[in-house]
Amino acid sequence: MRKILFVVMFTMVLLVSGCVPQNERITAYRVPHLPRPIARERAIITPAGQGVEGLVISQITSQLNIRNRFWRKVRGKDLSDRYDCVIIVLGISHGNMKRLKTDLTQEQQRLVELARSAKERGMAVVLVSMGKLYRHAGTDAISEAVAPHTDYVIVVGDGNYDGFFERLTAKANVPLTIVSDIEKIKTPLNSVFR
Amino acid sequence: MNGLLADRDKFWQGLLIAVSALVVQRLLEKLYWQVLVKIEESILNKDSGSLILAAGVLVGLDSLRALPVFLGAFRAAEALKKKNGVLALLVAGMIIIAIFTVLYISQPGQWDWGVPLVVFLSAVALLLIWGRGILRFWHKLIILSQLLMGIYWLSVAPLLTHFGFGRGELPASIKLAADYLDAHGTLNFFSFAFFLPFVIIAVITTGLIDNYSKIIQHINAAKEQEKQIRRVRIAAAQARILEELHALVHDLKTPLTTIQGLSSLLEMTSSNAKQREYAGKISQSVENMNDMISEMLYEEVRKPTSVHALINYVRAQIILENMNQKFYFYIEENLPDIEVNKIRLARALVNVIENAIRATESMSGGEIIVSVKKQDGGVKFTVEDNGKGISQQDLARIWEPGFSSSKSSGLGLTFVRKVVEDHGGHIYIDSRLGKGTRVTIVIPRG
Repeated sequence: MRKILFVVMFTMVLLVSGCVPQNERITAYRVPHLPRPIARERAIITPAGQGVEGLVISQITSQLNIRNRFWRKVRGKDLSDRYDCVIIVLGISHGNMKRLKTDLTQEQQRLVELARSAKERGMAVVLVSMGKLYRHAGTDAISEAVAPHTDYVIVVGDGNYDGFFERLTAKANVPLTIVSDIEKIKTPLNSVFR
Repeated sequence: MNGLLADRDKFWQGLLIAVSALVVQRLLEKLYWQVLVKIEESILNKDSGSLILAAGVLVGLDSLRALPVFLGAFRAAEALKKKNGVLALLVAGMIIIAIFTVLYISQPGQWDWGVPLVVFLSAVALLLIWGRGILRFWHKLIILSQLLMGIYWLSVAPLLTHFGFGRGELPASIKLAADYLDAHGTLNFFSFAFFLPFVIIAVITTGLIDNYSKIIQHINAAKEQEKQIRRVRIAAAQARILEELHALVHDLKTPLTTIQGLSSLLEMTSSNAKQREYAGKISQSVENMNDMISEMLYEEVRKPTSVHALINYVRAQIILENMNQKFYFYIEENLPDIEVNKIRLARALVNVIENAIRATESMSGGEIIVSVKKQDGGVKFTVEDNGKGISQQDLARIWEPGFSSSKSSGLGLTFVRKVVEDHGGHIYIDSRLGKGTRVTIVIPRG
């Protein structure tokens, strides 16, 4: 009986260890929040894909008393000394893009150019994903294009369900914070400035 | 494909309605943008009321866009023959998937199959299974609108996101805003508070229409029964009248026998030659009258009759005074004698001519043409008028006892057909509403 129990237990341990996601093997730099601030106020918050996600982050940032400007179509040339941080919030709205006469390709070009300019000016670039429901092929493409210029990535909820952000941040050697819900995003967001 | 269709036009109408959803989506595009504006307003003002309003507008727009898809798909499915039930389901499903795919491609970011699937299953239950054959187009329109308005609320319920509901951009944005406003509970509550009543109303509506159509079916069946009873009563009345007429005509024979006896006596006993001649004529007339009565009483009595004599007898019975119509008689020469019951056949022809007179009496330029020709060894009588004519619907019923397109007793044509058929002949009626009627009677030589 004990032998059988041992065999069953051993098999279960093997099975469980086999089920552990491959993501665990990625050497991602996961933190609960940044250990020290990387930017000063004011921040520019821009939506990557013109979804309402950017507006939500702008409102949360304001609740944290961090001065910010929600700027839908900010470009690299718009950056100035008044700003020290760019927060790119992933979230696509085809309706808003059509309304603002832009598309995904233009958005990607704008954001890559924005992130590159921000880096050149010594500004911090933060990438935020609001979860699985708000991830599309388009947002993933933007994330991959912007990642090399990013200083910090924050993912809400099940946004990293497939390990995408872990792989991305590991490759770019960027710290990553995954929070369980939208309310918990305040801590890592605050840690960027304070 | 045509072999599977019971109604080809209905199928194409259905497809056309379904495809019209693309136009509807195009028309609604700017209103969809307004939903985005409302969501952003609710985030900026931290107002969950605005968010519920935005959700309501989105549900309305999505329902409006989906209505032609489902309405058209089910119409197309119903156009298939009844035995192809499973195929009808497949056709409806395929049309819905195809149109939604095109809709989603033309308006990216709207991919969401949870709600369409639930609407499809509910609509199959209510429209194709419960309401098949009893629901009209407008009934389906109302029931589908109620279903869509209810079920689309599920797309904005955060509780159901994990089950595949509301994965499109706009529902996702509403859910994100609800997350930020901590209004998950409120949005779930409103979603179900609207979903349940609308779906329940759709079920009740289907039930009410089902009951209503059953009542209508009962009423129609009762009306049909009433009509049949009326027909039987008329036939019975006709039989009774004929019986009484028979008795009356038979009674005419008694005084005729007396007249004939006395005139014969007078002829034999009178010394005056003139009186004898008159008495002989009286006897001859009485004999003729006796023969006529016999023909009236006994249908099977037939005598060789000249067609000219028959037509003259008919003409003598038609009152042509004060008539606006023009009357034409064309009688072919050298017509053979026919063996007929003169009195009954003449009466039948008079009935037909009187119908023609009635059809032309209230118009100017009315014409009635009676022609008689040889045909296949027999004789063909044609009565033609340019009067008001008979509708195709009435034409199918003119042989029914009691039916009349005018204000007559409705027994005329039934009697005519009986007399013609008793003589081994045929009767045909051609008529066009507003153009006139032609009645053709063919009587064999006998």
